[in-house]
Amino acid sequence: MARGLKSVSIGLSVAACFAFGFFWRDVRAIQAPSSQSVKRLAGVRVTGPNASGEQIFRSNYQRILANAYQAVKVDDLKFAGVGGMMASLGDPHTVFLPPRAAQAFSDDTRANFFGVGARLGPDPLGAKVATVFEDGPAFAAGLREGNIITGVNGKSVGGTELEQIIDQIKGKEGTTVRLTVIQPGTKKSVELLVRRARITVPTVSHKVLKESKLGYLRVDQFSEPTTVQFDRALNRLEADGIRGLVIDLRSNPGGLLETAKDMLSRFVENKMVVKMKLRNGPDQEERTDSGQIHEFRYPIVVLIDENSASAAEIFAGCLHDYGKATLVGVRSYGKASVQQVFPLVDNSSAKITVAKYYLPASAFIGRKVDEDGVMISGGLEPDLKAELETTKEVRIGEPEADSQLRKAIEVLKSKTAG
Amino acid sequence: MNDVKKSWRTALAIGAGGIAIIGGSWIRDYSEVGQVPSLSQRVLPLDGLLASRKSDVSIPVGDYYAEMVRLLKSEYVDNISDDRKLAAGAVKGMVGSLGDIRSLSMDPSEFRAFLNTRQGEFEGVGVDLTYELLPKVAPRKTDPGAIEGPPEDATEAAARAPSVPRLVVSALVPGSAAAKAGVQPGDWIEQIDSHWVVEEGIVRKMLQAQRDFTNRKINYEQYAKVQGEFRTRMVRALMPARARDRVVLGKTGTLKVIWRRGKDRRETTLQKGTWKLPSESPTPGATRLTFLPGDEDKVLNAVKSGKPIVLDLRNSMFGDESVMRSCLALIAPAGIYGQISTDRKEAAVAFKLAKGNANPPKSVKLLVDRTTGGVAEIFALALNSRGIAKLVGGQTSGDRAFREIVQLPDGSGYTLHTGTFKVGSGGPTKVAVSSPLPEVN
Repeated sequence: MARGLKSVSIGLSVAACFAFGFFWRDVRAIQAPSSQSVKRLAGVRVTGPNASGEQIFRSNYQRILANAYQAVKVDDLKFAGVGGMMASLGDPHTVFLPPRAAQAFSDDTRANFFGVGARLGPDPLGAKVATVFEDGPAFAAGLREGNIITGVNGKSVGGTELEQIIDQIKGKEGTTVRLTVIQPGTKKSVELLVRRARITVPTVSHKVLKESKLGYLRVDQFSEPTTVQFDRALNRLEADGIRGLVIDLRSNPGGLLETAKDMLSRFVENKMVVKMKLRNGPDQEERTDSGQIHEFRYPIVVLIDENSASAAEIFAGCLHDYGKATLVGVRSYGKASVQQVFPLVDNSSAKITVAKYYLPASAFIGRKVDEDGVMISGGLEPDLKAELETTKEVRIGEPEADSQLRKAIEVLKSKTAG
Repeated sequence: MNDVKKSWRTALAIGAGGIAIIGGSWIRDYSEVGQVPSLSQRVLPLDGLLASRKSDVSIPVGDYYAEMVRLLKSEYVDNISDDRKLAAGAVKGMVGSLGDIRSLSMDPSEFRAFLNTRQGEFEGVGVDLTYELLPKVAPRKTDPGAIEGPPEDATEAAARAPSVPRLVVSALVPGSAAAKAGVQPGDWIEQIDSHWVVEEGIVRKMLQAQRDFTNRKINYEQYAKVQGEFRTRMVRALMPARARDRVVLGKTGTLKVIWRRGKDRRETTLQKGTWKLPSESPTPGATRLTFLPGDEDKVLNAVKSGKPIVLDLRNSMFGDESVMRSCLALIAPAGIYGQISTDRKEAAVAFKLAKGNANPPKSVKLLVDRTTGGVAEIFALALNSRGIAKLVGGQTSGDRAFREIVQLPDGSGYTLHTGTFKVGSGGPTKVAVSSPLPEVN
């Protein structure tokens, strides 16, 4: 009998402990977090957990508009909000363009600009003239290779970004631009008046690297005349008996898919160039033509860098995936998508990625960025990594002043027989 | 260099703030427009709102936002389902557009750490970091020997442009990895691991070199050297917000940090962990205040005790305004202690105590230093300006901002600078601080 009582009492006390433990945990749970969260969230305005995206946006928009230290413009804040919303996707090409930016973008892409017929490079005093097209207006006005442009329309451009200088020089056909120009080493400057005209930019240049008997072919971009220019350059190099070929796509921002496809048709027949994945509908494929194939009897290296993008990446990527060339350089930009611009009633625009490209064998190379715009992933990985050494003066296309080209030459030499 | 150019451009949101950039640069935009045959361009009338008419009636902002979300969801190549992430992005964009180092947006992990820091719970290396701007440079005239032309040069333009701030130690947990390595409040960060932290100093040096070269004060080699140094650093640079995350977030791992104090550089290797500020003041007899709930009782007890009051306001930056006012009212009489000013057109509002202590305690000492800021600094200034309290220790941080703190459903949040405290007229403009009291460690 005693034992029975004992077991019952043990059972009861166990049950009591259990119940007590259960309640104690509850009691503690109520007490401790409560004072913790009161302190933690002291003065913190918490948006309701069930708020919709729109409500979250609106309530914070109103809060900032009403309470910020600064005087906030209604539209600016709205555009900043919508811009931030689109930026949260991490896709650097999907952006909101407020009215002024939308206009600038539109001008740029419609290519309503005309140039002066010169290629410029950076210089601390402004811009250095690298090439002058002989049948262009700049040449006619007296601009020569080696000149330094220190002013555009009377305004000094020393210290200005090259891209901005170029933007200032470009303009509508028939309009004039005033360039302040000096010969390096002198102090005197001259003013040249140049009339802007439509320029057919040569996009392909070539030369033979005499020491190694290799061909060097540079493609600046993939425009309409590029295929013809490419064929011509190739023929000339082969006529000189090259033993290998370097195709330089560094800083090539891309261009027309059609052109890339045409050029690839010289290398492979009836093969997939890209697969395009749209939001709705079936995937679309772009393939190379048949009957355009060229016989390449020597090894090929393609040079890429962080500014090689879009059609350049497609071209390089396909040559790589079909085993037609070795990629040398650094990881490319990572543009593997098509955007569409949606103009809005208030003159702003939304530029949205509507399709992605996939290369034949590579994983998707589209670039992802973090909030600061720094690249996290994407781009084409070269077969052989080669950085551009900038400790000494760099001259692209000259082996002794171009470390990436030197690497390419090394690769080709190891592939050629002797 | 493109990525870093982008970083400069998009530094409008330094993750947690909005500071625009020097020198500007344009994002090279490589785009093919309209190449997809099945799509065609069309103007969107923001369906259902304006129908087919153009009018001056502006679209309610919520509807505008909702339409943009709808457009994005229907057209974007990938599926978008996280509405909260979009909204958090929108808020981040808006906060960033203010360009105010005192209005900072934070992602969920940053915001969580921020709230913990308020309560004295730190992770990382045991510091809190705030952003500080360099003082502006006054534009100078062009030298007569210069190559002719520049009515305005890059240095002058940069001097007027908003700046990239420095990351400065604003709180330090005694005994933490950073403290043990000799880091002090006020130190700023130059490098983390092998990454240089972007800040304005080196940019100014670069622009000055450009200027000197244009003015023939240095030759090309000297200029190229500075340019090379700048380029090397920029290639692997960290924006301040990313740098900050590396130092204040995370409980494990080791970090190499190079700190600066004036011209001195200090290299440290620090082990991350969790660190807690003791709730008691290290100074015997002092009461630590962070202006979180519960501090009113502490002040009340101190006042009631009749003994000389010593309040420790160090390591306190983000207290709550209403708690601060309650504490103030327990010590100081009702009245106007200063103004809350803004950058808006409206006149400043008085910082007023409606009710107070008609018999303020005779002896009040406030321990302050560089880690005192926000409502804590306002408290100190208010009492000091009326002669009610003496300030002991070191110069305060200079952060006299009133802030709102907002949390979003996804855990992200932001601080919103709503006004700045200005001491009432008749009060001292400079904070007079006497030497520190002895401390126990």
